[in-house]
Amino acid sequence: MKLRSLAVHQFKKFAEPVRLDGLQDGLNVVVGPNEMGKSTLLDALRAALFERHNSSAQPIRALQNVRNQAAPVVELAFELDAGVYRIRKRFLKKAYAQLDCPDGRRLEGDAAEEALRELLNFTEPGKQGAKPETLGMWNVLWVQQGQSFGALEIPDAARSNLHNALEAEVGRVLGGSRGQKLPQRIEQQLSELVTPSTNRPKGDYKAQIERQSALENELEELRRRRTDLSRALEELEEAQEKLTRLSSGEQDKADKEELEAARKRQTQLAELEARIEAAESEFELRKGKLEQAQRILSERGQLKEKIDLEQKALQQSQKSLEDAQAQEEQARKKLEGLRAAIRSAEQAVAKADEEVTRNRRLLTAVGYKEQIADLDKRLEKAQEAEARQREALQAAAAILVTDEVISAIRKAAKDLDTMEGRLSAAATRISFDMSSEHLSRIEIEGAERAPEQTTIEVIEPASLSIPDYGRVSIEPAIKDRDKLLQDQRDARKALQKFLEEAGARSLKDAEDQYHRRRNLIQNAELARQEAELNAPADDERDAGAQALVDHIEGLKQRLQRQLEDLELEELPDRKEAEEALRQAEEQAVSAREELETVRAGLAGPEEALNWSQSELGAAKSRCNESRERLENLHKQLKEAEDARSVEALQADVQTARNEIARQEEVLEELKGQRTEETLPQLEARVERLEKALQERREKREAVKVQISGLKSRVEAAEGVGLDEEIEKKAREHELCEADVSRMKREVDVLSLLLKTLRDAEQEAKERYLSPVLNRVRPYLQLLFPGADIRIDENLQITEVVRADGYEEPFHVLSMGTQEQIAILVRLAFAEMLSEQGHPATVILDDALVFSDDSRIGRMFDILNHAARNTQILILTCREKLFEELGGQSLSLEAASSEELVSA
Amino acid sequence: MTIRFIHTSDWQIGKVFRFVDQSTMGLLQEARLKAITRLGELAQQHDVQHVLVAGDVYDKLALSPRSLNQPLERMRKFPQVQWHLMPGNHDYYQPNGLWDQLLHKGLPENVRVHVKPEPDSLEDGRVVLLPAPLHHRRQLNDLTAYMDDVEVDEGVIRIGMAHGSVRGFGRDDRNVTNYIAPDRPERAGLSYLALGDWHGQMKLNDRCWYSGTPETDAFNSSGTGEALLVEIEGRDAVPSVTPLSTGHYNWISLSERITDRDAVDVLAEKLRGLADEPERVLVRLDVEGTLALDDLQYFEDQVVEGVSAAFCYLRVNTDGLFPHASEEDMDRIDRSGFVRSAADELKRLSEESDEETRSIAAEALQRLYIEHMKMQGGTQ
Repeated sequence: MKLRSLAVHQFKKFAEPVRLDGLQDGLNVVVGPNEMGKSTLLDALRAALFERHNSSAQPIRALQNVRNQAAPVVELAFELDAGVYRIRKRFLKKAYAQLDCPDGRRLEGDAAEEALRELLNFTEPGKQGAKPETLGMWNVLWVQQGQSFGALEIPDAARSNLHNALEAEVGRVLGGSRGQKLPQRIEQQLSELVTPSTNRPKGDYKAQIERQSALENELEELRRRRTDLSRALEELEEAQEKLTRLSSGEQDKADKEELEAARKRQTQLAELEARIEAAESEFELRKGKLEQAQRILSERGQLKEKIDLEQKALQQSQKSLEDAQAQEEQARKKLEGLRAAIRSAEQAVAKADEEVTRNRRLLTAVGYKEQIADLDKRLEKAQEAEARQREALQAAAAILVTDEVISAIRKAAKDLDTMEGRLSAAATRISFDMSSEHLSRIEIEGAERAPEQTTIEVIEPASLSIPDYGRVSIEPAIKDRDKLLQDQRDARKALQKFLEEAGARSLKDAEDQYHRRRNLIQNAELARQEAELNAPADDERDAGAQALVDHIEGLKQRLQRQLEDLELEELPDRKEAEEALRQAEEQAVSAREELETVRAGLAGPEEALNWSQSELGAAKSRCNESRERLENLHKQLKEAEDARSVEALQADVQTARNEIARQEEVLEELKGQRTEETLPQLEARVERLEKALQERREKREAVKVQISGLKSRVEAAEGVGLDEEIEKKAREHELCEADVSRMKREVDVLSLLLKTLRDAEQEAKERYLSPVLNRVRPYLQLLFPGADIRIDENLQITEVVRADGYEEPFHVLSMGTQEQIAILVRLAFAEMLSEQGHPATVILDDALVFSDDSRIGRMFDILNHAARNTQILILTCREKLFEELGGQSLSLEAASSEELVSA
Repeated sequence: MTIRFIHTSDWQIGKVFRFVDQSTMGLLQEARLKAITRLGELAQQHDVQHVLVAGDVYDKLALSPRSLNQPLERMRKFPQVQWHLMPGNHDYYQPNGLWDQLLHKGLPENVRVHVKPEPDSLEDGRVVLLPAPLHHRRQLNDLTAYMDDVEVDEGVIRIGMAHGSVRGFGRDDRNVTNYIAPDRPERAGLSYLALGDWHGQMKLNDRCWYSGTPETDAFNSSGTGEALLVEIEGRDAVPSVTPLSTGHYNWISLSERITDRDAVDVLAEKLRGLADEPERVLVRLDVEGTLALDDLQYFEDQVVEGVSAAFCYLRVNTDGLFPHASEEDMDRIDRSGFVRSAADELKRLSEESDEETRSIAAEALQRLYIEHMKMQGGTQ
């Protein structure tokens, strides 16, 4: 179908009749502003073709002009293979439908609508008016404003239309509903054996594989136990043979006999050795006895010798005792003489010392006397200085001008000066310029003037009497004159008062008095210092003359006492006193030397006396000890002799000697009985044989233990029937293995089947959709170089495959991109239908508004290209943007209302 | 004077049959025990006092007490029969091993175990039994050699009993283990040498026989399921040897080629006609050839699931049977559409790729066929 013209009246916003003419094959563009009514044109198109003229459903009522509420009228001319048809419809009021066919027929009412349905392949709308599903293919190709985004809405009618077109091109390739279920069924079966995503065994298959592995392990374990059993049987056989060998007993018997003999020999030999040992100890015993007897005898002899010696010693001690007594007597006498000499020398020394002391005191007294004379002189000077000091201080005290007084006077004088200065400054100065002769004649009243003074200062009114001339009165105008004068008077009075108090006549007199006073004070200080120099202070006394007087008095008393002690009336002079002392000292020294000499002589005789005294003591004790010992010895001898006499002792010795000789013979006889075999040899042999027997016995026991252990192992294994168990297990394993390989094969078979089915299905789908895809792809290459799209068998766009192979689901793409791709698919559908002999118009209302500049340019190219085979009607409000599109530009024109009469 | 005895061997008690299911295995094991009872009954029937078991009473050395005792209890049931057991290569004597175990616990009075190569006097000294028991799994020397040197009184009948091979697989028979000289009866003056080890019955010469196992235990065996009744008139007389049937189960191997549905029917009929008592039959069936998918399904239904129910056991080996998808099969799956494309691809793989993939692809195609048919069945 190709649209040719459209006219409306009283249709929605068109209250006046308008028409769109000149629609041609290829690209047609209607540009107009938003409110122009482009979308209404599309509504009119749909109403003319698909709505029933006599319907009063809501969508139909909505076609009325809101204000006029008149009957909407629409007229559409379209061309099919047969030629141009013209359909005219009025709705709601005096509704009608008229279809003018190319053959000149005019169909009316329902017949017209039925003819349209047949021509254009859509279904009769329901009571609610036309719906997408009744529109068929047209719903896909005619896109209303705002519906160009998102998935294509393909009603069943349209789909079957498209399917027919596809199958007409590629034939039947899909397997129908049964074919589609088959892969699912296989997949289902496969998924019972393996997990689809990982292809890992699961369920029974997995359990069987695990069982197989478990069985392998069990079989392995059984075989291991079987090997153990075989080994145990072999070991048992060996052990039993060994036991038999060990149990034969021949070696044991030989060993036992030898052991018996050895033990017997051992006993005999041990007995002999014991006897020898006893004889040897008897021999030793007898030797001991002889030694004892000999010793006692010799001890008796020694005792007698001792007594002899002791007696000689005693005699000698007595003699030395006597010598010592004589010596001691002699020493004592000598010592007494010496001691008397010492005593007289000591007296001489004491006397000399006394003389020295006396002379020393005398010299001290002389010292005192000299000191007193010296101090008397100093006292005199000190006293004189102190008198001067007193005199000066008294004179100073008489003067009243002290430091404070003079400073007060000075200040008052200064204040007076200041006052007078002020007065003078304020005073009226009168200068005279005349000879002194004349000047002196001038009398001034009220002011003083010294003669020759040529200038006077006048403070109070004054008058000058100038002889011969009269008087000149002067009235100085001085501010505060009276106060200034009063101040001056006060200052003068103050100064006068201070001077009177100080007893001074004038300032100068005050200054003179002040200086005199200071000189007096200085003189007093100098005198005091002089006195202190002569009578200084020391530890015992203060400075000053009086203290010195006391000191001198003390010294005099001491001298008096010395004189009394020395019983002297008069003191010799110093020289004599010193000479006397020197002589006395010399005498004392020589007396001491004498004493030392005498004392030194005492040391030797004292020592000699000490020595002879100790010698005497020693001699006495030696003598006593000797005597005591001798007594003891005599007592011992007597006791010994009483116990056993010497003769008896000699007989004892002889007897012992005889017994030793006899024992020696017995011993020799016993030793002669020894053989070559020694006891250690025999012991070693016995030990060796016992050990051999023991070891054999132990070995037998060990083998028995081993046998019983092995037997129990064998018995334990017997109960199991290992060979049988192994066979059974192996059988089980084989069966299991067969199961596993059967399942594996099942998996292989199903996997191959599924893959083959899926591949075939995929390929079939691709082939089926290839007419659409083949038409879309060239456009897609223009828009998205390298990209591809996937369309499912319901003709829905599912994915876009980017140039890099990355697949994106369609619904996640941007609105602009979705719209562009959907338009491409629509164009492909239209082209396909066109090539099948059903040319169709594609209408785009306000589409592509979200496209960017480069994309929209390419879309324009694509639309132009598609328009070669397909009629395309573009409705847009973007005049400038769509200028680039080209195509035929159309506009609405007013129509005559007579053509489309409303009601 | 005639000496009469039954010669048997290779009972293999305790044998485990790996390939069959649990219940079938129980039946087979039970059958081996029943053979003993059958031997006892035959002994009574033929008035025989001695049963010689020439080795391999037991299949293994270490068996459960139950397995060990089961045959003893069977033998105990026949007190008038003297059972002579001897260790073979499967149950060779080993000190403290199973035989010692049994001897230690005590055997039934009518059971005698010959664990040593020592003459045993029977029938009041008129007969001497010379056993050659194995003490190892493989013996390199001929254990019957000692028989040459055993001296007995004039006129006493000498009967040998041994377990092993009279010939090997190589050129020099003497290199085989457990070798037994086939001329031992001549050399040792034996009236009869009772042999065991081979499960199929075999006569080597007038005096030298393998009795075979009394109950078949494998496919592809012949002369099994029997024992021998031996009657000896005198020391130099040729013994009279009569086979006695003892077996219960019949083990049959079949190999068939099938290519179409008719062949499947023929095969099913053939199987049904194999035996009067198919429940006493074990079958191993090897099939080869190619079958259309449809026919393969038919084969599965008819043979693998159908006929097999009649037998004690049916084992079908289809390694040589290849499914072949015919044009009809393919059309039945679909004439067009992707399922058909997949079927075509699988068919291509089953014909062109390597063997492994080929067989998997063939099975996958068959699976596709089955699933498709099931769905069709479901939708119809």
